[in-house]
Amino acid sequence: MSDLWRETMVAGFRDTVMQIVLVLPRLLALFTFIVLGLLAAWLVKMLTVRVLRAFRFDVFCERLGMSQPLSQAGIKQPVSLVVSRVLFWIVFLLFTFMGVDAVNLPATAHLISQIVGFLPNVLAASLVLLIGVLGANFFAEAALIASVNAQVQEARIVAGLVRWGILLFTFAMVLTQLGIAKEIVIAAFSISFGGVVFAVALAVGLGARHVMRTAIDRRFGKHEEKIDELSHL
Amino acid sequence: MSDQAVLSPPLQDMIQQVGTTDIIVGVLTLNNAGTIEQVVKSIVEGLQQAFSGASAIILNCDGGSNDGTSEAVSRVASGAYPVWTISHTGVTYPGLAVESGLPGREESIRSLCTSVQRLQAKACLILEGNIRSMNPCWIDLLGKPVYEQGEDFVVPLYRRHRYEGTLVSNLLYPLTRAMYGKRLRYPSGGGYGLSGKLARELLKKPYWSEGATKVSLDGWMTTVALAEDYRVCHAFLGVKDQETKVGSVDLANVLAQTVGGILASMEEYEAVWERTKDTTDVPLYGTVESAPALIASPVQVGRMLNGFKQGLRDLLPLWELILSPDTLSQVLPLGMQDAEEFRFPSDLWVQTIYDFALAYHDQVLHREHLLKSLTPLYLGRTASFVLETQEGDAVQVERSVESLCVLFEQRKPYLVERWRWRDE
Repeated sequence: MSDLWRETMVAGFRDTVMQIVLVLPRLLALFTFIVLGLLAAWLVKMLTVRVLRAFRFDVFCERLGMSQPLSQAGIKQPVSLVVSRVLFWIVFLLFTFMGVDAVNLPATAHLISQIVGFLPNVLAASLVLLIGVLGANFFAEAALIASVNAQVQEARIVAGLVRWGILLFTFAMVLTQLGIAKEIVIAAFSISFGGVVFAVALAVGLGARHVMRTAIDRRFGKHEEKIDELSHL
Repeated sequence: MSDQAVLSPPLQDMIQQVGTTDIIVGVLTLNNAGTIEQVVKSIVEGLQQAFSGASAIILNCDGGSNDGTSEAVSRVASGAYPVWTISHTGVTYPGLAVESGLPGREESIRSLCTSVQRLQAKACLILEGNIRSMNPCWIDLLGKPVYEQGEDFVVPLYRRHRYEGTLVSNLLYPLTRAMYGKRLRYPSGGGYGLSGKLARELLKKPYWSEGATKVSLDGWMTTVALAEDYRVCHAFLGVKDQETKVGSVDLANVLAQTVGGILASMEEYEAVWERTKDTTDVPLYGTVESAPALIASPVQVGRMLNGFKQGLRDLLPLWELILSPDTLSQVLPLGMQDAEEFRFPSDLWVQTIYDFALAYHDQVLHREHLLKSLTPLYLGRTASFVLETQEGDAVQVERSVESLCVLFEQRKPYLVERWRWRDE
């Protein structure tokens, strides 16, 4: 009995030590990947900032109107710094996932392959988001200036509607691209957009009958002599 | 686009048959049946009186009239001078021209310049078919400086109400004068006299393929003539009584096209305007009449001030990107002033325009947005200009314009230093 007890104790101890011995290298690998990831990410961040500044990337982004929306979103740093930080986290996370994969846990098996498989969707969605944000900014600015010059008092509301209309459309496209709640997003967007268009059509149709009649008369009818109050040229 | 594409085959055949001519008179028309007979009679009489020994062709550049305008031109001038018609119904340049609102204006003038080149004409006169006040003297005054005196570009000067052409008086004239050193009081006038030399040079420019839809054609022609040192002059033609413009171009688009033209040319002629220091008068042909002030519609100062104040409220985030901190800090308090005491100081206006020029150069915003965002500031300046001079007469207005021009010249180093600094 005592021999059996002794053997069981030794076997249990040996098994546990074996398991620890087997897991330790994997934990060490995880730790190594994390450290390497930090180093690599820091290197990438530093190089990215230097390269982008050498090519005057911040000036280019300011001309494209990218700095303003970031600033309004509370991000006051230059775009080159933002890009470098994004790349930092991408590289670091990549190494971290490699480390997690090396630990070989059943729950995280094939994690890297799944992430890599999802990357094209993320890239496409990022591109759509970028174009959408730039487009929203551009058209909102155009709408604001046109409304102010037409002395429409609600100019900022008009510009806001244009901006958020385009952004909403963009977000719907991004979520659809990422495959997140696709059906719900499509349905919600269709209902909202259709509702807005219907409401605007009703408002214009009922409220602007006189204006439309005048515009049609002007377009297809006889031109009336218009006296400008001031000739600027 | 080559000459062959600009001129239709029948026109090319006629050019080949004729060979050469001394003068081409271009008449730009679109449904001007009410005025065209008087215009063409004046042209014919003018040519007979002033250029009796010269050969001439009347080229009717029509934008698609359906009221018999082109037929009227041929009928009135037939027998006296050959009349050719170019129809521009399918226009290449879709934007409306600011001067006359006439569709196809760019096409017409390009066709005229091409005809001048092909026919080796010495002079080209450009006239609009909707001018009620045209008389035969106009042909003499626009044509003789080019044909006999060696001038290259004749810009008409009209007798105007003191508040007519406020954009010209407050911006286009002072800025052009400071940049290119010539005191051309009204840089554009809708009708012109061109030498064959200038017409041929204009054809070589990339404007026809690059800039035609974006900037004012008239302003561009004047800038080329000034910047490239052609001989430019004024001809006083009296009153300009014009039938209603066919299309209306709103103020924001007028600003974008006219001011945009000058700022775009500053990119091209940087070496010229940076070294221009002094300004000189341009020759004036014709006798300036001193006549009672013309009656014009009342100026709606209140509406202009509302436009300015709304711009201050809603466009401030954009103006923060365009204007320097010093300029912006002086513009902001203007929104607090009462209507009757509102004043937009001249030196602040000069600084504002130069800041816009620098912002245009740097492309801090989309250029068309930048130009259109100038509109409320221009309204504020115009309102101030009217309020400052409303008690005085036309002479006082001219003195005020002259002071503004001197300020533009004196503050030019502000522009030059910052322009060069940004390029380094």
